[in-house]
Amino acid sequence: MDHTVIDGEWHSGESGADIREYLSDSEFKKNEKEGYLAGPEEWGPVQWDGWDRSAGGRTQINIHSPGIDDAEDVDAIREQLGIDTVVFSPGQFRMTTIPAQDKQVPYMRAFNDLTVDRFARGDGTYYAKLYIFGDHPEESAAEIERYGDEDGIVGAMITDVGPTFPMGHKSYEPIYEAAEKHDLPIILHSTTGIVPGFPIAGMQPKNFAEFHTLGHTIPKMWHANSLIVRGIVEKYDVDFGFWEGGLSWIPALGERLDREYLERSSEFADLSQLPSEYLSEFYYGTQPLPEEATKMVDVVELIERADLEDQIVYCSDRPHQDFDAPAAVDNIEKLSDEQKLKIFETNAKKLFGI
Amino acid sequence: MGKAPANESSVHDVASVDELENDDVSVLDVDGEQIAVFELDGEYFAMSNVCPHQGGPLGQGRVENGCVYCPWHGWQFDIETGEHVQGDDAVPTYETFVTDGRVYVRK
Repeated sequence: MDHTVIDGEWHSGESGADIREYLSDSEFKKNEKEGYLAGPEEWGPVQWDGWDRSAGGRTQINIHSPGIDDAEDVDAIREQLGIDTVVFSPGQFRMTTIPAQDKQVPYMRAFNDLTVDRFARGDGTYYAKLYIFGDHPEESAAEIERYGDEDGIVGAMITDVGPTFPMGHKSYEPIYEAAEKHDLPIILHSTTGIVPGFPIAGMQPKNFAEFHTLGHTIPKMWHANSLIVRGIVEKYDVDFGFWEGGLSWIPALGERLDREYLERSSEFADLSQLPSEYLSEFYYGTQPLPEEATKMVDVVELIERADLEDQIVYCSDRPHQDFDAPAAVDNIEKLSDEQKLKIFETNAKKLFGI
Repeated sequence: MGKAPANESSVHDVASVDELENDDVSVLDVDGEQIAVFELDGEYFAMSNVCPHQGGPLGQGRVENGCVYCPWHGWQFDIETGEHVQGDDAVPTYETFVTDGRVYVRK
């Protein structure tokens, strides 16, 4: 089958120290270099989360792989995997764990300067997403204004764990206005950092397995629920992408939403269709794709019943341990060639405007 | 393991016993297929080097209690049988034997 493989998510590999080099205020940068005597120099204010992702060393993991300093550093592995085009996601997305709130915004700006400088090539091979903060909506909107028309910037990624409010809250509206103006999709991505917001603080997981089973999916449901109930999906012409939570949560949320809507529609914003139908208009990254091996979920049937054929984007999630090679999609036996074409190429082109 | 002459067309020379003692695992190309040969307590076991999940290199995986863990996603396979310990997938395995200090795989 002849098609291009577009990867909707490959994480860049910068450290906190790399981001720090892009801080625009020289005095602040100097103080930041000297201010973290008790921590590893390369991390700065970004906190390591303490999780062992490797099951005691049984898998290889380097979540912030050194050596991905700019886009071309992934050339060899990209070609080995058969990926033609990459849309980078921020690697240091644990920014919501920066405890000093007054430092979050300058680091966000520095991070986006780094991304534009090193990853957002706009050359047919490499594109990138901006990083935005849910708890800093005005400043995040300003970042979209600053770089929204930059060659190679094709989206904005928000860490969906850490914000105080779900994404239907009115405080986010400056972000949606800016995203609509610049026609940039907003991509939700979780993090494993310990943050005060929902849902990490309350999970009390025994280990990484107990946490990671839900750590990506639960915040997706929290935000999707809110975006629909509060009518953001009607008010703004913005595409939302839900990355790294898999697919199997979608019908579960749809059923709950429709039931509530049919019983108490007055508590919803004015909607023009059933809540579940908005779920069929969001975009979803494929990773992780364990569903093909899980008897409880028929991923092809899920795609067809939930009308997601035009909404699913292949994502590798390189260089993280649980990445999916294109084989993860190719191995799904009942997917048609037309469906694979959409997942690997067509849907990403539509979402990112590539 | 069994004894067999080393001149059959389906038999492939992997490495010397000494070499495998030093490395514990060797990966060879047989007719375009990557095969990993593991040494466990003086016995030799051969299986496809390609994880059935997404193609991870099993020969680079950690070996523990008679199992190899794929370095990509940690899928655990019994080195002797090739069976996935927790699931239904399996890795093809191949017979091995030793002749004159060299390890062979029959494929």
